[in-house]
Amino acid sequence: MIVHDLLALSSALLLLYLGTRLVRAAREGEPEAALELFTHAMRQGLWLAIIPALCELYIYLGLESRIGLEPSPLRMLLISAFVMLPVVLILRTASWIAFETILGAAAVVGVLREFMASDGFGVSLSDSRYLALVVFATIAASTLVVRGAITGWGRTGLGVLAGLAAIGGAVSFFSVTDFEAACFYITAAIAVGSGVLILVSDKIVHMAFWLLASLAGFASFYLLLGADFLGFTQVLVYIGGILILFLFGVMLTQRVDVPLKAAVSLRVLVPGVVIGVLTTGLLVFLAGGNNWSEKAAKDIAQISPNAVKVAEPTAFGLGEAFMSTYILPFEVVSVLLLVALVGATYIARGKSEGDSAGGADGEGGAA
Amino acid sequence: MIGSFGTCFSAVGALLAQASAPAAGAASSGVGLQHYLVVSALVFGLGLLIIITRRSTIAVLMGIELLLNSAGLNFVAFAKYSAGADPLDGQVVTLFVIVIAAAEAALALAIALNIFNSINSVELDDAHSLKG
Repeated sequence: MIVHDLLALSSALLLLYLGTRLVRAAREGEPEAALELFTHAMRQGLWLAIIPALCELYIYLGLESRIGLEPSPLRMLLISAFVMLPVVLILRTASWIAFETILGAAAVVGVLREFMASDGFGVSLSDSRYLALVVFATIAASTLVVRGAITGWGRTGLGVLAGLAAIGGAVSFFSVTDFEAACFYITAAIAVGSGVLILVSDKIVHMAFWLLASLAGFASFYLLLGADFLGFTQVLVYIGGILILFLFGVMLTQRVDVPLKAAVSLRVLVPGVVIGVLTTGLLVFLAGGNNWSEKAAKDIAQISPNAVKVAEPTAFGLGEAFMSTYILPFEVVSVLLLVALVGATYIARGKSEGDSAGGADGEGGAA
Repeated sequence: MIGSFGTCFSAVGALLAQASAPAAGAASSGVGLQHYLVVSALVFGLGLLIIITRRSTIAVLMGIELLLNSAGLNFVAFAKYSAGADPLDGQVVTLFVIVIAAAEAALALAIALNIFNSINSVELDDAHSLKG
């Protein structure tokens, strides 16, 4: 019950902090100022922090037995807050701070958890994954410090508060028995939510950055699945390479004077969206409804130390597979990559050279 | 800031409680193959919708990247959870997918740049003549 004790204590502290800030603002300035502060804080995503706090207090005080309201609707509230979390937090101004806080705190929690599960950073987790957690935590902490220095510590603190409290709510929701499930749902919300934001945003640079978030979500899916080499390759190749390429593409081809046309014409849009939604529904139906033949749970590598089998580093096995079983595809792909890059260089250069030389040899690239 | 520290401590305390009571988590994890498949299908659908509804070449390419990623996630998830599969096989295939996606992105962006140099636009509807 130490979980509920600590969560309820922190929730009470959070509410106390909010109350004193409001009272102080009301005493020093006009009541309108206090109201404005309150609405500002709520808009920054603080409501997400308040809902789990209230729920925890409610459960802790045993009110569900006295009032008769089961905690399940409260849990539903927690779920809704948790699902809304990435979207709402990120959409607000201070919300990137909350987002970074979530990442950083999750990383710190992961490190602590590994520390407690093993004998002092022992053998239960592969070294690369532990290193990744440390790197993520460092990145989050340093961006927070920089951001605090730039935008001021008040808003940064607010964002940090919202992020930490949301993590507390999420942790309490999963009753802390399933770290992997918590990681999965956070990652899924980030990947799918950023995908939705790619779809709906109207500026192409914004789309590129949402693509970054979605691809980072996929990288963390790979880490969750025990594919550490693949996860870091995803970060290196996609986020470090392809996304930068996309940004170059955007900056080189975007004309400032012509606004981006948001969507295709309605004649194409309506059947297209219908087909897309139907395909998605069919895929989800097939994926979720089928009875796939799965391995026994003891044979599946997990990141959780509670599980039977713990994931091992995959780099050695991958290198061996590339050099033995998959040697032919490996060579073919390397030739393909070479040809594609030479071709890309030629296509991208050919036209501008042709322009400067008088447009004589532009046909070579098109053929 | 007191509240934030309190919440931070609560998260740590919760983890402490979990580490001290491993029996509660000894049951199999709540996340299985179907979870990954559903997420992957959702992202695939989003990529498809982006390809359908956008006119900019670069936005369409972003949709294609989402499609490739969701397919790669399926490979890894199936290889990890399916009976009789070696997890490394799925990862090898996904690495190939990443390599091919990199080649595709470089080539397609070069073509987009070329189209922009020719017709001064990257809208798909504007690129309708073979010899720009």
